[in-house]
Amino acid sequence: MQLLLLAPLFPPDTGDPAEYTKELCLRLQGHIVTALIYGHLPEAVLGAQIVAVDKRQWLPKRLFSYTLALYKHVRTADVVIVNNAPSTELPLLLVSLFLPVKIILCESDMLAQKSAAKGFYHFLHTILVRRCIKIITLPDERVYKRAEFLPFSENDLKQATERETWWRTHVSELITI
Amino acid sequence: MTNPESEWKEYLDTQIPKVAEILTSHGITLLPDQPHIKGERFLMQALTTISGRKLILLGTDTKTNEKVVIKAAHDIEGKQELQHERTCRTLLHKMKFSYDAFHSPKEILFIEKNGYTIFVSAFLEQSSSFLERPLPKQFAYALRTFKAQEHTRATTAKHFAQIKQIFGSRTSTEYLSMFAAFVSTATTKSASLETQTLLITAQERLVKQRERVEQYCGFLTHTDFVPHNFRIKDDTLYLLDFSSLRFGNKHESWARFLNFMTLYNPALETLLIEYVEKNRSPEERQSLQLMRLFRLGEIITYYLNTLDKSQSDLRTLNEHRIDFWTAVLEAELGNKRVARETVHIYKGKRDALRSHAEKERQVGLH
Repeated sequence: MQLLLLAPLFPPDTGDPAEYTKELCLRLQGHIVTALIYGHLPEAVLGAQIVAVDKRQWLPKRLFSYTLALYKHVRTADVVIVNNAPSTELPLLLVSLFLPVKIILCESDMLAQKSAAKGFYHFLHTILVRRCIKIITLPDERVYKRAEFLPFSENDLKQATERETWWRTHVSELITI
Repeated sequence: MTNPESEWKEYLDTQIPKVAEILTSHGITLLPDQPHIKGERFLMQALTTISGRKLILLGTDTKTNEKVVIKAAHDIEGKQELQHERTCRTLLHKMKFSYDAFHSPKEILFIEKNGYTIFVSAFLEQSSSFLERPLPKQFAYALRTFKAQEHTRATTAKHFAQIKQIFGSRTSTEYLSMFAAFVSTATTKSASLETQTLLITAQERLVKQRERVEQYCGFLTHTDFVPHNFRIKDDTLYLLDFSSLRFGNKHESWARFLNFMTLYNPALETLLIEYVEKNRSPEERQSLQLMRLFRLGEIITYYLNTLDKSQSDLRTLNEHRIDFWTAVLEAELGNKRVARETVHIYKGKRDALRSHAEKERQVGLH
């Protein structure tokens, strides 16, 4: 299966969508995965292609570059998994006007989610939601984030098992369309 | 040749009474013992005059009877540095993309009077110094602070426009050009062949892995993140020196801290490296290593520059310091930690050669 992931952030940048998208790339091993992200010199993920649009460009230019890159990559994708953010949703909405796209919306950024409650982003988000085949709201970050190995503290085995179960269910939900 | 030590003493004799007079009119008196102007402080001042001379004094606010920290400057560069530090502190608290700003001690007074710029802030009493705290606490505080820095990254053109004028931004180009200057200093100051060779090897590695350095640039980083630049009170870490904040490779502050811990607490150094190896990407580990090499090059250069400004025991001590940090550089180039025995031997020499005043200055500093 060919999957195209869209994210506003990717490591080394920090933030929920960044960590989630990198982990998802790792969990989708066995599929053909391309992540189209905003960033500069992203970290590598074995088996996944990371396409970065430089965020240091001025806003209109980077939105245009992203839309262009999306237009190029979306043709071969069976499904597009988009992290909620105006910078990913607007280009996707534009491209979806011209090409048939199966969209899964992952609400990974709660701050962006809050700002989708009003204004232009609300308008944009509402239209995109109508075009999605699935909408998944991510749980609390502790459920899906990789646990850290820390000295002086025991690893929580129960939480680790729950995390693995969540990811198995989540990946299966994403690839069953 | 001028003697930097007597020059510093002369500077103190003329400046302190004038600063004291201004402070008295604002209800602040100086304490009789001033640890931050003693010992090797003159050498630091002599080497950092480009950023201006600055007095760091302790006093009492007579209105509240509470201890205060005073930073005062008379020359243009020193005054600019104090103003710059204040701007950095204010901007950091305002930046939208700085989610987890540092805490700072309460500002009590900021004045420009009689040609002096004076900044007075609350003195934060610690229950114990950083290094006296248990190792798990030290690890937790350090990691928490590094993570707070990592959450502040300038990524967009708008972010860069906001920070560049105030904090400055170092890219791989700046790091490589600074390292080239370290190599050049080693040649002009006739450093040992071993030191010169190791610096060139480190430079080659930095050039070869330039992209890795660049990959982690754009982050808020503190170029002098060591225990004497922060204090811990009520489980909160307060930053004392805001003038060393930059946007650059995020591992620069990690590197400075780890190099410091090589000497003061190797167990903490090991724990932090293990943390990165177990929890971060291989690229991060590589970037951290590169920044350690960069900072080691810098510290060796610092001590090479002290040689013609120091005499007798202090000069011998600075020569030992160059040899010690060269040994650390050699170990780090092989991704190994310097032998504990080497650290132990160096510490013995240092303690024997340090002046009484410097020993006094060091008490409770870290």
